[in-house]
Amino acid sequence: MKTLQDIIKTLSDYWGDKGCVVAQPYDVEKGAGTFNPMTFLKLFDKGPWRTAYVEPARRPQDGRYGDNPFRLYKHLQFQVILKPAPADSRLLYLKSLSRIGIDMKKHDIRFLEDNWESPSLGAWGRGWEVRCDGLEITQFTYFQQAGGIELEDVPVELTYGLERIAMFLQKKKSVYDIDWSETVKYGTLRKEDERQFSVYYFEKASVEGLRKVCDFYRGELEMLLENKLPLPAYDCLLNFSHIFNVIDARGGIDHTTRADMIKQMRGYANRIALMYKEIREQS
Amino acid sequence: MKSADFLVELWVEDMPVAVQLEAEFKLKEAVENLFGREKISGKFKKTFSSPRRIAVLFENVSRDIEEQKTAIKGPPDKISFDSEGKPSKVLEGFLSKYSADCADIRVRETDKGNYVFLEKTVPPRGSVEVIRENIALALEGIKFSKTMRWGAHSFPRPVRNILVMFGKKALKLDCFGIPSSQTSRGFMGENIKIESPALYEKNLKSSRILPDRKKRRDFFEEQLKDALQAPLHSKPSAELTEETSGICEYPRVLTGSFDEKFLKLPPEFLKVTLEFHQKCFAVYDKKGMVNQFIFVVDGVSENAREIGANYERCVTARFEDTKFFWENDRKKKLVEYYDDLKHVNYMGKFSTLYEKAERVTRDASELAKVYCPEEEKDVAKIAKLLYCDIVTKIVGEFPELHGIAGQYLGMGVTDDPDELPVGSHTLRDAVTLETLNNVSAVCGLAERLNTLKSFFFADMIPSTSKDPYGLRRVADGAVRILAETEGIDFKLPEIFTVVFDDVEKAVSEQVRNFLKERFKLYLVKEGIPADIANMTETKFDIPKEARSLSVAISEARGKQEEAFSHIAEAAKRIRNILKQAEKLKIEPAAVNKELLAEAEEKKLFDIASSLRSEIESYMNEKKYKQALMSLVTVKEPLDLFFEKIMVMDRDESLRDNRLGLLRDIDRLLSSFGRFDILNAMASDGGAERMLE
Repeated sequence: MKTLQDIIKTLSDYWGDKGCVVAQPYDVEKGAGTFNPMTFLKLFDKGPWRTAYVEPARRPQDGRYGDNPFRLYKHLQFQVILKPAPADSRLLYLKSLSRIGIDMKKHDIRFLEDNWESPSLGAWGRGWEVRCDGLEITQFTYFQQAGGIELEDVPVELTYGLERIAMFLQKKKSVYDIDWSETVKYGTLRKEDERQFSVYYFEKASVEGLRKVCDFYRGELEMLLENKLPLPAYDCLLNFSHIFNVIDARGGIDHTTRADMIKQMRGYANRIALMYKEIREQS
Repeated sequence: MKSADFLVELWVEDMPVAVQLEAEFKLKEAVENLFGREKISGKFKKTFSSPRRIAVLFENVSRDIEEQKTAIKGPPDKISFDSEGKPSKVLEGFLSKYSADCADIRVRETDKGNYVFLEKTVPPRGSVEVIRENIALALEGIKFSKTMRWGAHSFPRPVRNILVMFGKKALKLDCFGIPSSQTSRGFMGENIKIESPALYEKNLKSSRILPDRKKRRDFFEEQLKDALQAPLHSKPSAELTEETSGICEYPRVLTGSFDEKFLKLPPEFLKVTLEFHQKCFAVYDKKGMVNQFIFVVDGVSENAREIGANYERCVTARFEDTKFFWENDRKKKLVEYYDDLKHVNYMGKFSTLYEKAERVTRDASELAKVYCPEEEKDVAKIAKLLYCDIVTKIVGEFPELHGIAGQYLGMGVTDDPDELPVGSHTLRDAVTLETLNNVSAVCGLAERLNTLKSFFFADMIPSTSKDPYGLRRVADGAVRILAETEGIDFKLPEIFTVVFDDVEKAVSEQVRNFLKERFKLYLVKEGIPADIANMTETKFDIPKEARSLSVAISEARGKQEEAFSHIAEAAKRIRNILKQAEKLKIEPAAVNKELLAEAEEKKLFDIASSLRSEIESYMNEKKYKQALMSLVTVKEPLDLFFEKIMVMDRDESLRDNRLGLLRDIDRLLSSFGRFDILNAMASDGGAERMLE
């Protein structure tokens, strides 16, 4: 039986062998692995690029106080980017599933339409959610646009849901029963964390204070962009985006404000992408 | 062999059903256009589509293309050459358009003078060569409503294998940046040998792939029937059946079960959770939903037990979420969500749902004062609660539960006057219109008219082709309420006075006309011939009556086609004569019995006089059938009148008297609507035209 860390190791080795840079998580809170600069910014470099890494994705709204056996405020994604997407992208992916122990002949593997979109990153792509016996295990996307920019070499992004895959392979009924290693359960490491953060996100977070933090990051973003520093600006955007999600989970954002703030984030993502691209092209 | 079968198959990354249908059609069109252009003869046989392939099969495609002679008409002779006989600018332009030169042209006589013709002879060619040279461009050039890019190519989804077969031979060519293949492909990209185009389906079937959409659906439905033992049953909608069988290449139907504890949740919630998230179907017995479900797998032939257990885990996870949302939503009473509507925008930033709810409540109460004063309190209460569930988590997750969730949430466990009585469906019905009582009708109507008013006021009006805000559906709901509420006879003028008192006349007129148009379509969909729906339009102010009258006319005409045809013709003549008189500024006189000279006009006068009061009283009692039976007795005297009588007599007093008689007849006929636009030859012509 494969532990969670076995799965991570197997996927890292597999994609490493396919020419991916096996990178590390980016240490700022974010809602999805796409936000890691190894994906979002590297997409704007000229030439081919391949990377694979684990990324914790934080979605305050999905917190369930550690009570729900399937949902977490923070889950782990295994992210792969292949740019440009090779003709056998799909087959490479299916083979990776075989490698971690999913036998295609014995399971119902389906590709259901799910055109991924991140309004705050100005990114979208055509793609699928890949289901294994009804369970969504991967988002498979051919990016068409990011940071509001049409992408020249269409990349493919694979986002594996690691907890789900582990639950599936280990036949567990609760995410907290997953064997992280041979001796340590997922719940031992994460359950209390889920409880405390759910309390924080849903009940305690200081909405007014966080709004001020948003304002602060807005100012910082403007200043950094003015100084042509898109990389730190991007960190500010990530922070801004995460705080926005926290305020949202507290019910502190009405529809108009939400639309406005997403538009702001998209605007920043676009400016950062363009500036990053410009600097890279000059160097 | 002079001809052979022809097959094109594109193996594509998974396409959703709508894309499959479009791609199937466009592929056929592209090949047909190519064949047409290149004069390749062949008979279209069939198209195929599944999530991963689209294909088209032609039969008897000739191997040889005959010599082609074409003549393209150019400019007139006289402007084609200059004085020295050299080609003019005009001719040069024509020649360059077809990349031809002077050697290819002939001057020919036509009935409009001499013209230059470009004559080309294309020598006989082989179809295989022509197809090989042209098919890539034809396929790559297909235009789709939505595409994606990969590499240098675009198509709805990436094309990963191409098979073009002429007879038993797979043609070699490049298309979408890849060389064509000798075989088809399976799920993991494995080769599947196709022996010949005609054997395409059979060869795929042995790899557990059914490329024929209809056969796949039948196969699915058959299994669905066998999967459950009566009284257990599952009835997915036609749409869901199409969708579920459409996203598989070889659907296999299996059953699973879930923990009974979830049956405590409203069954509608479970159904939508199963269908929307898991593409599974709910199962029912005679009493209602049971803790089983149907799921569908693609192709896998073994391991059913383990797959089933996995599906059950997914369903449990989804139900846990639904339960979580619902338990949270239930922490507040329905009415306590009312203030939250202040944070929901309506129509952009201009208004909030709260404001709209206030308007709807006001209008609904006003309408209740007119139509069901005893229930005014209930109406005001329901109208106010109508939108409350929109801010709940469960409706956020499943918008189609709007109304249903509100009903469950509002259902009282106490005698709290803010809560809804158990077992009543009024709130839900005001949204879904499943059944209509006075309260749900008035609330549903006020809500819909308010929506129409706001959008028409903001000039966000649907066009013939576009209806981005779904206003047709809103109007159709209003029409159903107007026409079908048993307890209330709605009258448009009264309603508009109440609901449209705060907008300009022009806006309310627009909405009224929009409703009338939708009402006509409603009648046609109910089986009323289009000409009758047009005829009774003048009666639409009282929609319920217009509906019964239309039904009565359509039944009566079915029995007495000739009489109706004659009356309709006479009605047209009467209108024309009256119009003509009006143009000549001739005023019809009040009929003077003394001046009725001829037997035929006396007869018509007598019968019309007696019919008038008879028909009026029948109409007042809404006995339309009897009224129409009386009316048809006017047919013969009318026929005779027009046969024998000259209305526009030289004697002015006779003339004006006859015009007066015709005006009376016109008025009599008008109590049924506009007979003059009823088809004279009874037919259902126009019905299709009117349907969207």
